[in-house]
Order: sequence, then C-alpha cells, then structure tokens
Amino acid sequence: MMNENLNNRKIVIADDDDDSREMLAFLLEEEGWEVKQAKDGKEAIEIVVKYQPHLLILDNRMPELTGLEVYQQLQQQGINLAVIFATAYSYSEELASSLGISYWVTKPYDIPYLLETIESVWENSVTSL
Amino acid sequence: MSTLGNNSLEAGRIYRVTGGIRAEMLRQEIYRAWERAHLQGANPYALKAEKLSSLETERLIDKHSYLINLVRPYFRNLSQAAGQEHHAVMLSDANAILLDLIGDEQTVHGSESFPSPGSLLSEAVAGANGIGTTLAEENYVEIVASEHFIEGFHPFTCQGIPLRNEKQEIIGVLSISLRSPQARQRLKEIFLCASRGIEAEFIIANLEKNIHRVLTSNPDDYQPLEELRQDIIQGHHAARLKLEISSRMLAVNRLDYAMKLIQQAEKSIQMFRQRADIWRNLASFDVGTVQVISLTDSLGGLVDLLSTEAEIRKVEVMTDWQEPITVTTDLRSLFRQLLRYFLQAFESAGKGGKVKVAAAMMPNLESAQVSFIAIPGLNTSQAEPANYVFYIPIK
Repeated sequence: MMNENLNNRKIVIADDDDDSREMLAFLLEEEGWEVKQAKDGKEAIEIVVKYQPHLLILDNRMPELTGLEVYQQLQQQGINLAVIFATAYSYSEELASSLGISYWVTKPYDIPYLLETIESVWENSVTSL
Repeated sequence: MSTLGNNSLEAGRIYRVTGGIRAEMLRQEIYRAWERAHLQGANPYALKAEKLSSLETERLIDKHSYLINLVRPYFRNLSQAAGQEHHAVMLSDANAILLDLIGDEQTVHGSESFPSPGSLLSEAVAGANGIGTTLAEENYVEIVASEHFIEGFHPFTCQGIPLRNEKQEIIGVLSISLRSPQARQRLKEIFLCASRGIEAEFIIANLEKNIHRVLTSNPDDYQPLEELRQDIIQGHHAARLKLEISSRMLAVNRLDYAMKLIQQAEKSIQMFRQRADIWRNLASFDVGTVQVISLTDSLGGLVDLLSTEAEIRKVEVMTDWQEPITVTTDLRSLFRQLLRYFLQAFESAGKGGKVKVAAAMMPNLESAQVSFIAIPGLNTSQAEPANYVFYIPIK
C-alpha cells in the first residue's frame, strides 16, 4: 500500500481502450473510488508514481509498455501496490500465477465479480497495513 | 387501454364464448399463436400445470449450466434496468422449459401460479406467451396484456427473443415480462441488445476453442492470432460495460444517456461479430472453397482488425484503391496471406513508420495487384522502404 490515507480510496485504471477505461472509471467513481486513468503503460507508471493509488487495474495489451512490463517496472522501483491484472489472454490464470500476480480478471469480466475482487483486494490491503 | 388491447380483449371474449378466433382483431403473429394454441388444446382460462419434478429440473439445470451462467450477467442487467417495476426476466431451453428467472419478489414469488424453473411454457400448455410463441415464430415477439391466450397472463406484457449459438441454432429463449406498458417501451432496446450480447458470448467461447487448437496444431501462428483475439474481445468487453451502465441509468430514468450507450453497445457487438468472422478465417487452417470475394472489403476488414496492433506498434496504415475489386480465390488463404504481408510490413516499418496498402486491377484485367509499402520511422536502422507485392486472379 502506497497511500496511507484511507479516507480517499484511490485507484488507477490502465487500459488503452478508451471506451472500456472510461466506462469502468464511471462505475468505480459511483462506488466511491477516486479514479485516475492511464491510456498506455508508460502513463500508468507516471500516474502511479505521482498519484500513489491504493490499487491498480492493469490491462495487459497496451502501447508503450505492456501490463506485465508495467508490473515488473513497478516492482523494480520498489512500488508494491495491489494490482488486478485484467486480460483477455486465454491463459491468463497460468500467466498471472507464474509471475506471482495474486489477482486477475479475464475479459470480458462480470462487473459484480470485478467490484467484489476490488473490494476484497482493498480489504486485504487495509488489513495488511 | 389501447385499441390493440381492446381488440385482443374482445377477441379473447369471443373465443371463450364461441371457440372462434377473429383474425382481424389480432396482430398477425398473435393470431398465428392463438391458432396454434387452440389446435394444441391450450386452456384459455388457466395455465396447465405442466412442470418437471424437482429431480428432473435439477438435472435439466445441470445440463444447461453453461448457458445459464453465460446469461446471468445479462439477466442481472435487465433486472437492474427494470428498477422498481414489477418484472421477471426468464431463460428457457429450446423446448420452452424454464431454466432460470430473476425479478422482483412480488412477481416471481408473490403468486403460486407464476412459472418457476422446470415449468413448461410451450404454446400447447401456456398459449401465446413470451417463450412458447418466440420458439414457434423463431423470432422476436411481443405479447401485450390481453394478447396472451391465457387470462392469468393478462397483467403482463412479455417480450421474447430466441438465442442462437454460433451455428445459428436456437438454444433457448430470453424473455422479459413487465406489468407496466411504459416500462416495456423503456426496456425494449436493452433487452434486444442483451440478447445480441449473449450470442456474442457464444462466439467468444468458440474463439477460445479455436485459439487452443491453433496452439496445438500451428504453434508458429499462435502469438499473432492470440493478440488479435484479445483485441476483438476488448470490443465486446466495452459493450458489456456500456450495458452495465445503461442498465443503471434506465433504473433511474436517465433515458437519453442510457439509449446512447445502448446504441454504442449495439455497434460494438456488431463490430465484434464482423471482426470475429475474419479472425475465424485466419485461425482456420482448413482449405476453403474458391469463390468470388471482394478484395477491397477483405483488406478493409483486416485493416480494422489490425487497428490496435498498429497502434501498439505505432505504425500508421494508409490504404489506396480507386474502386471495389473482386477476385476469385479461397477466402481463408487470402486472409492468411494478407495477414502475413501486413505483419511483415509492420515489422519493416517499425515504430513511427507507415504502411501503405494499395490494391489495383492489372491492365490485362486478369489479376489484381496488392502492394504493401513499409516506410520506416525516423529512428529505425532500416532506411529504405520495403515493398511487398502479390497478385490474385480475378476470374
């Protein structure tokens, strides 16, 4: 967890697809999250470093840097925030577990399932503080 | 009550007294449904209690668990969109047996006569209704209040649409029953969009099977096809999110915004289907049949399919053809060949480069020429444009 102010739950959505990113941002704002959006991998890292979110939803297939590269670079920089990996990759489960990524959702995901996952990741982050 | 309602109410009264159906008082599809219900012995006064035993119902639900799970997110969207209205969203199998339903407490559990999983809703049993009639007509139907053959269903207006798998076989019916006529109009668009969304889910499942097959049989082709498959799914994913938000908007009567999102979701699903069609040809390694094909449409379709790939590689794609060109070839081989050239040209152009695709008829009019010119970006080691050309017979 980077940001220890628990009043404002901050989340970053990194996805190059404008429609998906904006729609998800709308939904999460309705759920009370403060949302920032990144349209590629490079921007995702910049925003995470500057904004210090509690959680990052990371699409894999993005310009500049893939989601995996973003994840690896954040780890190299010592930034260990909770990441939910969102991908349409057919072997997403195997991929996520091989990289030690705890949370992933396969596109097209069920929205309530994603919201539940976000809440459970959030609760785990809070208790691990 | 509308004239339509008055007519069908009167037609029902006449039928119950005389046993005759007055065609001129009913809409055509309703008349056909009443005829079928009459011939099959449906009772206009009451729903025949034909229902599977709980064990049989459990087995049937188990057998259709894949379909039920696939439909659930859309079920939830429709129920959410209905908001405070009395409603029931239902799923049946292809034999009109109810598999799943969701709705408000009063509608679904308030009356013992309301159908539950295992209930048979064929026209023979339930007369004209949103499930049996949809199956009989093999098309979208709407049955308004007294247009239902059985009096017990008159408080409801039902819409039903057949659900087709990727082979276009009917595998079930999605139906929604509403008490308020206003709600019916408000939910019609999202209902139709949801049915197309469900059908797109079958296509996604099929793409998944295909990509596993490619990995086993043609591993060299796996990576580019997997990436394109992910790009295609992204389009459907955006449609799902739009449906979710529009269902929330409908529930609070923000109709204009909801309608706009539903239209966008419809477009995304349509685009998804077109792209999935092309992708299936790329992933199929069987030889297709030689036929007359629009070369320019095929090129346009591939440019569209590769738009995300081009964006990721930071390659600009330009197309150049003066008029539509048709060629005679095997569509699958043509797509695979074009994809190879595209990817090769993307590679040669590199980051910041351009790929110009041109199609033209040869002067002898016997073949068409397709050329890919890869113009490298400024920061790539390759300085000269690379040119790839191939020819396809016109007849």
